[in-house]
Amino acid sequence: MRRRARFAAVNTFAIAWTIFAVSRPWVGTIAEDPQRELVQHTLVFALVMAAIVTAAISLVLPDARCVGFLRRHYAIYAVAPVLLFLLSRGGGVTTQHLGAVYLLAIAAWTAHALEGLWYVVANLPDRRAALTLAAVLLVPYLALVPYHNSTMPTASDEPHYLIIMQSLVVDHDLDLTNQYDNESYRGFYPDRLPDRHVIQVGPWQYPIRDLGLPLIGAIPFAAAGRAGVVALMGLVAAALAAQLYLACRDLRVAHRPALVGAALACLTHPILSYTTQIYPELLAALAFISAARLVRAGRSATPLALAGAAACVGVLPWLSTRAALIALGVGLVIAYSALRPLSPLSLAQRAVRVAAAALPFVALLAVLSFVNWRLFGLFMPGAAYYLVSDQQQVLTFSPQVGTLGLLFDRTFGLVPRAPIYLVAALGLVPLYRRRSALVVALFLGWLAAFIFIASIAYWWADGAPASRYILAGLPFFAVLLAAGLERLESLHAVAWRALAAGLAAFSLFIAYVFAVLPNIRYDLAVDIRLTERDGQLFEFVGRLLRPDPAAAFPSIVRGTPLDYVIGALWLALLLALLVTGRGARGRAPLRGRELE
Amino acid sequence: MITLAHALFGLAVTLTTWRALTQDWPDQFGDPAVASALRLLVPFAAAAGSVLSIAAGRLGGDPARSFRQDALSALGLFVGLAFIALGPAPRDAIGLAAMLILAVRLVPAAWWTIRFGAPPLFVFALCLSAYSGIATWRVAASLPLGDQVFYLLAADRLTHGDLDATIDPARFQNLVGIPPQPSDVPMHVANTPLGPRQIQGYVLSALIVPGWVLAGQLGATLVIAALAAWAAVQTWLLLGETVPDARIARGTWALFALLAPFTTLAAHIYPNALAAALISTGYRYAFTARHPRYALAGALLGATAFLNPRDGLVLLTLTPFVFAHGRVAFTRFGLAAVAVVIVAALTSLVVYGIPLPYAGYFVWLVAPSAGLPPESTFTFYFWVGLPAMLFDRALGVAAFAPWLFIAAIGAASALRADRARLLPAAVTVAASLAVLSLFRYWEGGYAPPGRYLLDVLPLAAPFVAYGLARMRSRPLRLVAFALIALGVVATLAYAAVPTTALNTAFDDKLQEILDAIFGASPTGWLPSFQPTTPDWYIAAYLRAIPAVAGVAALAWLGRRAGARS
Repeated sequence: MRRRARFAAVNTFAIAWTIFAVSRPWVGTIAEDPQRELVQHTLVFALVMAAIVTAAISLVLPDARCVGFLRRHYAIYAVAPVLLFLLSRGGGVTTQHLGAVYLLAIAAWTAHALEGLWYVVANLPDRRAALTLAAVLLVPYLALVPYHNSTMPTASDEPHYLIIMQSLVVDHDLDLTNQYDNESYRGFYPDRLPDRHVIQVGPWQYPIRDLGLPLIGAIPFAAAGRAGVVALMGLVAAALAAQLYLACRDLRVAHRPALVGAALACLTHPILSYTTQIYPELLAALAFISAARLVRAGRSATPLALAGAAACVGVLPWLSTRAALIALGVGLVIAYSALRPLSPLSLAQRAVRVAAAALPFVALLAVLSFVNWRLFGLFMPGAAYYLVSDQQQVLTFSPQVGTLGLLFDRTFGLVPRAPIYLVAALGLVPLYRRRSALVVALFLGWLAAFIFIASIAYWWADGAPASRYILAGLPFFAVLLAAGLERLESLHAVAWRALAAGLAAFSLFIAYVFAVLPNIRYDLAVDIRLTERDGQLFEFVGRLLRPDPAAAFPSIVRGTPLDYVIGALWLALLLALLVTGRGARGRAPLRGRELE
Repeated sequence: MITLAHALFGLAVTLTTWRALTQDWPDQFGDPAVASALRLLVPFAAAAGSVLSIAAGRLGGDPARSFRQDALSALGLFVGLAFIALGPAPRDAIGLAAMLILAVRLVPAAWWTIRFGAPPLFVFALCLSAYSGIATWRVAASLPLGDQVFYLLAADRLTHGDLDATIDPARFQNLVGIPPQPSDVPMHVANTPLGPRQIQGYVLSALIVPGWVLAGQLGATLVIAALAAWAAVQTWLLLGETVPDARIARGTWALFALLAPFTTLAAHIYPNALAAALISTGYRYAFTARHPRYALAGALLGATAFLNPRDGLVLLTLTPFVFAHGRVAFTRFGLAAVAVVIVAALTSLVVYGIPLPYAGYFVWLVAPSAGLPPESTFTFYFWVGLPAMLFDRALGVAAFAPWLFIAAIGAASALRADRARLLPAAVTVAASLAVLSLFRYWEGGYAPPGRYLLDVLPLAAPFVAYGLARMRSRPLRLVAFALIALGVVATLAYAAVPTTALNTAFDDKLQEILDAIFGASPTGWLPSFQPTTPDWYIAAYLRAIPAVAGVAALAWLGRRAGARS
């Protein structure tokens, strides 16, 4: 108690001193608003959050470890003098330089907090561990929001989602005509929008975009505009982290691999990048993992769990038409679990199960169809996309190309930005051997969506940060990653661990670079094709690393024969890792839970 | 196997950073000196970090742990490099990043050294790496102002076999960017019967000649870095021989070797690092080494006759203490010292035409001359010089190395514990302070602060170690932490922004930085002993009262704790 009181006192003093230092008159004269905002408000906010969460973690630490843990926290206060030093050196220092220091401090704090959690996670109830993990990750997510918003205007579809929210909050309708006409979006978009994402229905202009995110984001938007919605995304990502950890534990992945796997997935691209983006994919990922977890008992699932899973799946078409494919995969597991209960049941009980599994989904789908009918005259989900589907080719039916691109493309692929996901291949077979409905739900949900996305003509989803389309299905990869890390423990060779550490370090570094330089997350496929550039990320990383790491990855967007060969080699590597993971059975130590 | 993998890793990191920096983006910063420094410094830090980590792993018997720490450190290097690669930034910001890169690469090896100990050669390599990195940035970011340019000019002349100290305005301007001032001649050039000669002597210039020939100013500064590393190793050995608690001894060494003024003067072209090396080595062989070598000690301390009278004072101060060791010891010591002093006198005869050590100082600098202020080198205002050296907020110990005051708490217990070996050190430090307090330029001229103190600084190390051992209660540990933290900040400021170390009477660059980064400088309340206003002394002495009281309190606590134990 005394120790924590002292911790509170020292932090209060340090924060007070920080506020004093950043409030000096010369700081107020800094010409750049984002720089002043960063040191005077964002920094203090982040320091307060970090202190609170450190105190929360200390509650679960044993005394012997708590002392050093609390003492180590104080190092974060060194960030204020460093930032003020940079600012005091006259003009020339950019907001990105300040952001690099600020975000490095936040990253260091996150590592400190996770290290504290790492030692005790096995002694904590899973729910408490998951909540603590979510609390830890919420700090970098929320700390990133003000910096990101001050350096990166909304782009691509983001302003259009916000305009729908604005219309809901201000006009209480979905007619976007006045929003576009009045340019009332200037508060979150710095220029005149070049196009309108609407369908003209008589005199009204209704949104093409799915309505799930605008409906959920309307209240945060009303409270704090764009920042409120981005903060909501941070909360969603934190919840996703908790769900991922719990999913790993449901699958009997050991505590530490589960913690590290969930944390790595949520602190690397694309999840970290999308905590600052106003897109529905993060919400879809949360709905996906929640549905899969609810149905984890499979045929033993209770009607309430089935109803919850069906509701989560029913939310998906509201969020994104592409994510609706996930509903197909998970829905199969829900239906099978409802229709084939493990224990013999009466007809009434069976009826209750089926109703519980079906009604929430059907109801949500029916309401969505009704809204679409009122807007567009079509009683179906995804009506808006259906109406504009003739304007461009959507499906090319060549998922083999899209698969290579989504995974390995140097500009838009997942692995070049987060190579830690290669470790996920090690976990596939061990996870399959757990024989859980959760794995099946995750796999089928991901598979259905992935094949569809890989078949889309514009699988790269340019305009938004890379890997947008696969984000909703990413929980499957994240769980595989944790299983892969667990598998790694039984691969005794140091080289394996070193390799995994290197991949993790590279992935975290890329996430850090994206956080510092949010503008380099955006590439256009047409530019890549015309200019033969590698994309902005590797142009920056190529400054630091030589030979150019981009050369190791194919450019499937350009699609030369050599690119396909390189892509095939990466696929072969993935398969080799998968086979390596398969050999685990004989050597992996049996864990207590597995014996049950 | 692990060592091989570690070596390959280090090689890969070094080559990667080297290749990355050969691209044209560093040139876009618009400062060729900065670009060149980065191209040298970052790959060097990468290589040095890995080499030292490999050695530390092998010495400590845990190469895997060492590899892990080095890999983590390499990640820090790339984060620092990413900061620099973000785009053009003020030179000071790049300097901070470069120094943090250097620190992050050397921290694993330093941690091993402090935690587990290390052989002297390893300590030398660690210090040389640190000082070389700092020196590389210093050369890029700061001009060789003050006396430095004259040592360089003399070295340049020596490469041509010439002792002529006439200031070449073109070379001078080339080195410091401004023409020589009228006062430079009487301060540095002696018109001897044999021609114009450098007042400060030629030993340092002769030593830096190889570096100068190979790599110009950077090469010369690296020679100084090597001399400072030598002094740091001797401090390491001295602490090991005089402090019973090995961990405290190693921690104290880190304060001395890795903080200002050692790090600052290791990167500037002044003879003080050489003097510190000679004095600390000589002292060890005379008083603390397990096997004393009086002749070697006498020779080393006698070699101070080549430097300046301040260092010669150390020889005079220590001689009576050697006498107490017996006739044989004293004879060996005395004969060796006298022999070297005679060589110094003969050298003076050749150079200046006068067979007197320190002829340049005694004959030409002390005497009033045209172009210099009317006052002598000595003012005898010790009531100004002494408190100024200790407490001046710009140039005093309290400003740049307040942790040295920890010696106040340890002095009593150190002398009680090992009077025979530590009393000569205490007397030498006190005598140096007393004499330096009589200097008109008590601050060492336009040079990094603590320049004069550095010569005898290693001798103060045992007292700081004993002081740290005494600071066991929580409030005292907090005091120690605060003093050390201020020293760390000052060190970083001097290393990242080398011009911070150079101040006129009207400058206070370190305080400006502290004011900016902390909102109000924690040492801003200290007095200023620069007579910039007619009534400067009123505020100076009033402000000195709490500082003196603080040090007195530490000394009292040390005496009380010592009496209790």
